[in-house]
Amino acid sequence: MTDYQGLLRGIARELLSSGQVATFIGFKAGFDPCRPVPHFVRDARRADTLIVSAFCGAGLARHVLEAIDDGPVGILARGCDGLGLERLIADGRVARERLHVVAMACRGAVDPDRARRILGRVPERAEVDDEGVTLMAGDEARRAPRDSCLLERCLGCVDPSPRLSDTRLGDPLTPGQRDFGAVTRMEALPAEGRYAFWSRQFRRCLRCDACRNVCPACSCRSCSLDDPELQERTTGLAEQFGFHFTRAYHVAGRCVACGECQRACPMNIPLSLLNDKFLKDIRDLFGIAAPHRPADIEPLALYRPDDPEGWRGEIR
Amino acid sequence: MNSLVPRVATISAIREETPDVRTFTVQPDTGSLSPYRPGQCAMLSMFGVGEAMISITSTWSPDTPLEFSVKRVGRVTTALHQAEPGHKVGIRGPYGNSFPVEQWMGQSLLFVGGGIGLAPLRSLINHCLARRSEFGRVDIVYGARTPRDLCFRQELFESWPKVDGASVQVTVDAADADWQGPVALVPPFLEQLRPEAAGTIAVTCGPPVMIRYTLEALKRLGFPDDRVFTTLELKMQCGVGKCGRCSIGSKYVCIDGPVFSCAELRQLPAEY
Amino acid sequence: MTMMLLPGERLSGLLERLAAEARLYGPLAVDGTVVFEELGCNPPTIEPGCPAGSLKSLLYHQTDPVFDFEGGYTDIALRAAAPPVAQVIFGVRPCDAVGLDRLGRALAAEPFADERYRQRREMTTVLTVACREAGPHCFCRAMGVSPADPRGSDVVLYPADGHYLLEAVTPRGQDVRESAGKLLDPAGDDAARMACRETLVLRAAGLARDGLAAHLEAAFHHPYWDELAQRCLGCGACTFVCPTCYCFAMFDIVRGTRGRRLRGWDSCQFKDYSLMAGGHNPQPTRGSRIRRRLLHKLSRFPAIHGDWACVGCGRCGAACPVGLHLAGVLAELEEVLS
Repeated sequence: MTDYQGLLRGIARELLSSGQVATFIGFKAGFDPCRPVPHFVRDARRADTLIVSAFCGAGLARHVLEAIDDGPVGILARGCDGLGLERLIADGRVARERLHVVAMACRGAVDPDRARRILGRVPERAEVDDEGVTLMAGDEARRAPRDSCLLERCLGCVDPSPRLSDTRLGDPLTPGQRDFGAVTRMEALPAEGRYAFWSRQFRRCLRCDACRNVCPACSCRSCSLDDPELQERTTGLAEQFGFHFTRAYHVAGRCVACGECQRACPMNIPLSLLNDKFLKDIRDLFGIAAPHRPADIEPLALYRPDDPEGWRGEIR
Repeated sequence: MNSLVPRVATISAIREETPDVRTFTVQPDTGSLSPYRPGQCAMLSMFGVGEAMISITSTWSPDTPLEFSVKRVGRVTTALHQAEPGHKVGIRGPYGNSFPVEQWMGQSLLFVGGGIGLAPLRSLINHCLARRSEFGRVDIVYGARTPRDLCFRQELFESWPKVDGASVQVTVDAADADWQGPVALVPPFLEQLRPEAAGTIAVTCGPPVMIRYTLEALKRLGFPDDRVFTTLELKMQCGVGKCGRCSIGSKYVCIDGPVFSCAELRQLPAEY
Repeated sequence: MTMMLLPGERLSGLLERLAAEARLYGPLAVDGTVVFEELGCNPPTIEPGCPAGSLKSLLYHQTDPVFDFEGGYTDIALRAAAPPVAQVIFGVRPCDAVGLDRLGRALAAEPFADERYRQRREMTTVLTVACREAGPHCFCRAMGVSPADPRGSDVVLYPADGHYLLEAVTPRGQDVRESAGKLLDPAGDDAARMACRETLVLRAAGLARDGLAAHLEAAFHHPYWDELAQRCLGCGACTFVCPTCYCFAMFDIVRGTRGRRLRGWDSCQFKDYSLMAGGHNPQPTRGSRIRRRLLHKLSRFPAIHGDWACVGCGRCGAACPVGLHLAGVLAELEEVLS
């Protein structure tokens, strides 16, 4: 196997010592061996604290906002990170030329909780390939199917490699097509069934805002969800529905389907399913093949003078 | 009874102090607040809007009406400014510690106020002036941004200066056409006045930046930290040491404050 | 206290009896996520470690009405919220039960005891299932909590093969034991309890405790807090899953001429938490907010209330989207400061 970790450290060291970037964002080992954490390297001598492993599950794109004011940022990007960065660039949060993207092909990250259940103990190492996952702890190794132990956000991924890249780690993998199977199944349920499903999900919401704060499309400096007059702080079912619909509507058309909201949710609310409903509708209504990929034509974010509905307030 | 449930009270009078400060006379509909001491605060409620901790500006006696002077800053204080006499508010308290007046017997007193910071000082000043013989000199130094922003004009310019052995010095940051008095920020103005530190207790209230420079000025004037007192204000939700909001180290401004000596402040972490 | 034996197959019988007397709650897997829920006739989900949400959600509600009001500008009537009803919670973990002790120290402290919390605590019976196996995030022992800790519990059940050893630790627990009657057999030994007392908690190892508070306060100005803050997203997940975090906000909702004031969880990690109307914010950065939380739990709360505001359940580590585990921070600080 290619030593991506060694290559990455070398690239980061070079970028930092040459002054091309002020910060390099990647992963470092976490307190928990199977939960590496986002890591900001500012000193070339610390580049060897960067790691690459199958447990690197968190998204990195959003963290650029924390570092970009200090100078150009180098970042390890998988497909999802690449789309998140494209989103931040399209939204005017970050300038493309201030990023150095180290693009890495990714076959999915291991969900430490799922892996532990399969292995019966805390996994120490893992390898992911196209056919399955090898989980290892001590001398023990076990093969498991991908969908049994990868993060939920990786299972539906069709963007293994970023489209943005300044340096590549490994050859890019071919992108795929999203199928929205879960949305189709949800749409097939009667209204009462859907209501019961979402009631069950939303009622355990803690309103911790993790879904919003982790999202590369939720980078507004001031958010309506923080305004008590726009979003009541009570946690009855109606307000929980209000909160989640507001969040989902506000990223509709800009969601990059990275699934970070769902991964970040401490109560495992399937937020991607809501986002995917919008993406599927945009695909079907506007004929955009992959609406989660930021593009020149974003139907919900674009206005043209010949818009059939006219501009707000215009009398036709 | 739940300590978070206020009692209903009626605004019986409203006096306009400045364009953004009003003094509200508040009468609980049933019973009355227990005797309060200078420096203490109470939670005022606007039903449907929320609560804010406000210092009590009146000085307690069995027949003195309860008064709050409130600057219009946020949601609750804006709603309060829109209220009229006869409107209902909620009130709970009194909360917090108070100025340790009993320990100041025989001392001279120096009060240094800025802007709405005169509201808690007013309660203390009137308390001390009512017991005038127990203290030495009483000097009041007060400043506001402009002459229009001076609170409690009647007391500042009429009743307090008439008290035997008391002086009142008023300054503004920026004068208008009619202003004849000094134009200076409070801390340098105070230093020019060269108040006598020996045998004097200094008390200062005002905006955070004014307090900071006033404490430095007092230090240069020779006031020891344990003879300088101030009040702190932080955001509060409960006022009774539960909500966590106003903690500084292991102190809560709502129940351990709002009054702190400068010596106590130096023991606290830089979290205010 | 005498130990009794509850054969595994009679657990449902015990739960039925409990449900007949009060609302019965317990950990329940809802679409795969274990949360405290009303059990109904579902068997509780008991897994190593603790449920995703903490026990506090049942005693210190996410939002809780304080009073209702009705009227207009010149007349208003207040009506205190309805008193809570009796509840029994089965399947609590010892750390969560100890967490109630910590919540109580803060919320029920006189002279301004939080009446809503105090009443609900009095109306609650806690049946704890001690731990034979630690979960992946557990570090209770480092915080002075044992996998067999009886504090905060009315009844502790120590699991063994095919049965539970049942110990009533409070008078209310004895009532439970008596109402269980013939469901219980005399216990021959207390091997299950001893085994729980010995349960290995790997994550607790090596977390320094002596002089921890002073150690943390000494690190007040250390750049480490700002380093942590870079990856912190400023969400409130750690505080809302924490069994001992108790910060709250008060807020009003209005419907026409009627309204309600509620007290609801708030998080010291939110940027507006201590923001004042005039614009002053004493905790303006994420670093200052993380530091404040850690110092509160491990220095200030102990100074005021006599014990840690952390019971080592590890939920902060499980919930944090970027792996900010309290035990991990302690381990890192040790490294950073030495």
